[in-house]
Amino acid sequence: MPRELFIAKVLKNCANKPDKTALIRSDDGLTVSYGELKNYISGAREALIKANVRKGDRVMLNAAHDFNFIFLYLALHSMGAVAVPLDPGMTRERYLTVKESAGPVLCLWSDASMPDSVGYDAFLNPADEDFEIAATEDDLADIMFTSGTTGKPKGVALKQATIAAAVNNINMFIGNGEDDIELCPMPLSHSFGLARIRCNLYAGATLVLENGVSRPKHLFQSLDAYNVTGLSMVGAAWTILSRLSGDKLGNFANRLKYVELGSAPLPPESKARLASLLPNTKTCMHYGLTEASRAAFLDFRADSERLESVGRASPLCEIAIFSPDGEKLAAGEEGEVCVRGDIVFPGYLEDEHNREAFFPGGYMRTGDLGLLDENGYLRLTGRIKEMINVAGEKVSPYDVERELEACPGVGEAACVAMPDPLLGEAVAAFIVPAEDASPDPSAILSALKNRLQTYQTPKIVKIIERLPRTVSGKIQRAALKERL
Amino acid sequence: MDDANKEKLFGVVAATFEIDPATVSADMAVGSIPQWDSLGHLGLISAIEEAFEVSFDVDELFEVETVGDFMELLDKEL
Repeated sequence: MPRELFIAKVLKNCANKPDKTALIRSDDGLTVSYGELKNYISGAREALIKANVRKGDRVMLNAAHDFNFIFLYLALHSMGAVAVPLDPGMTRERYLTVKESAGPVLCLWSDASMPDSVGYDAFLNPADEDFEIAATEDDLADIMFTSGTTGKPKGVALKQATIAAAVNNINMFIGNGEDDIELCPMPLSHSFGLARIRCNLYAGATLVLENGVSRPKHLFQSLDAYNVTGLSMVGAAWTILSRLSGDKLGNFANRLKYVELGSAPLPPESKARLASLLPNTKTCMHYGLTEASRAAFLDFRADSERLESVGRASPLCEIAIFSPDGEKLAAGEEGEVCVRGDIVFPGYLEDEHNREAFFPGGYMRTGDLGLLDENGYLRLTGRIKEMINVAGEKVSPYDVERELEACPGVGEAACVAMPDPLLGEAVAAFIVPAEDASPDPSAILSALKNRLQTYQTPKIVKIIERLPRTVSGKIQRAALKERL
Repeated sequence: MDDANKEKLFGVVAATFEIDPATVSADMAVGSIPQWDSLGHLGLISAIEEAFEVSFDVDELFEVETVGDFMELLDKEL
C-alpha cells in the first residue's frame, strides 16, 4: 500500500507549522523550528549537490548526537540519495571496511578525522529555497551496517517505502502525535534512535536530544523544563537510570504519555517496575532488528501477564515460526522466528548475505529461536545465529575473536554470550594460550582497547586448555557457556 | 578530602577508564572522555564503592556528575 514518504511528511510539517519547535538540544536549550529545519535541509541539499552528490548516490556520515546529523540525513532523503549513518565511536578499521562495502561518493565526518572524509561545516548553512523531493518509494533510503555472523559487516538496505511503513507501524502502536514532546537520550546512529527521529518529525512532534542517562538530574530537569510527554531508551538505559534515580521517574506519572524501550533482554520485574511507577503511561518495549524495525510490541500493562514474552506482532507485521527446512510451525512449537510485512527490509547490500535471509513467502529469518502461543505472544528461547546482544547492539563473536587472536600469547579464542543484569548480555571470551605462552587476561583486555568498541569488549576473559569442538572442528559454544 | 584519599580516588578513576592518573582532575565530568558514558558511569560508581568500602544511595548518586562531586560524597561518607 503506498504511504506518504517520511521526508514528504516532514517537509509538509515544515510548511504547515513553521513556527513549531521541531528539535531541542537539552545541553544548551538550543531549538530549531520546523521552518528553520526546512531551511537547514535546503542549505544542506544545495551543498551536497555542489559536492556532486546525485539521486541514488551513497553518502556515509557520522550520526553524532546533534542537530547537524539530522539536517544532513533529511537533506539526503529529500534528494533521493542514500544515507549511510555510522556510529561516531567506530574504529578506523571498521570505517574502512564499511566504506569498501558501501561504495560512497562522499564521506561526511563532523571533524573530518576519518580517511577521505569531509567535515560537516560547509553543509550547514541554511537557505530559504524551495525544492522538489526527488525520492520515490522504491528508492533506497538508508543503508545501516550491522555485524554479520562471519564477522564481515552486513549492509541492511532500507527503501523509502520500508521506512514509511516502519514509521506508520510505530506511531500507530505508540499513539504519539503532533502534541507530543519526546526526550531521546539514545545514540542516533543506532536504528532505535534513528527511528525516534523519524517518528517524531513525521508526526510533527518535538524531539529533545539528551546526551545519555548518566546525568539523571539533568535528564529530569529536561523532562520538567520541556514538558516532555514521551521517553525512549533501551532497556539497559532504564536499568542505569533506575540505579541512579530510584523511583524519581514516578514523579512524571501524570505527564508522560508513553515510554518506549528498545529491543534487548530485560527481566520481567524491570518491566513491571516501570509500569508500576507510571500507572497512567503507555509503557512498552519492542522486539525487532535493523532488518525489521519493531516486529513485535509488548505493552507492560495490557500484557502484564505475559512480561516474559516480547509481545505480539506489531500492526504492520506478521510473525511466524518455521522449522529449519522452511515449514511453518503451529502454536506452541519451537523454531526460527520469521517476520514479514511492509516493515521488513528488501535485502542486504551484499548478495552473499541474501542467500539464506528469507524463507519462501517473503518471511525474513531473524536467527532467533522462539515460539508463539495461541494468543500470538512470542517467547524467545535462544538464537540460531551466534550473535551476542549487548544492550541492543549486536556483536559478532568472530569480530572479537579475530582481535583476541591478534594479541600476543593468544593461540585461539572463542566468544559466547553471558547473561548480564545491566546489558542483558555481555561478551565472555575463552582463550587458549599459544605454545609456551602465559597470557594475562587483564593485559589482553588492555590490548583490545581502541581495537574494539566498548560494547564489543569482553566482560570476562577465561584461559582454557583447548576449545571444545565437534568432530567437524566447529567450536561448541553451548559447551563453553556451561563453563561460565 | 586528604591527599591520600584524593590520590586513591583519582587512581580508581584512571583505572576504570584506563587513562593516565595525571590526566584526572576534579573538573572531569561525565561525557568528558568517551569512556565516561552511561555504562562507564555505573562502572565508576561500583569501583569507587568497592575501593572505599562505601555504598552510595540513590539521592547521592542523583547529583553526581564530576570527579569533584565524588570527592564531596566521599568526604561525607569517610
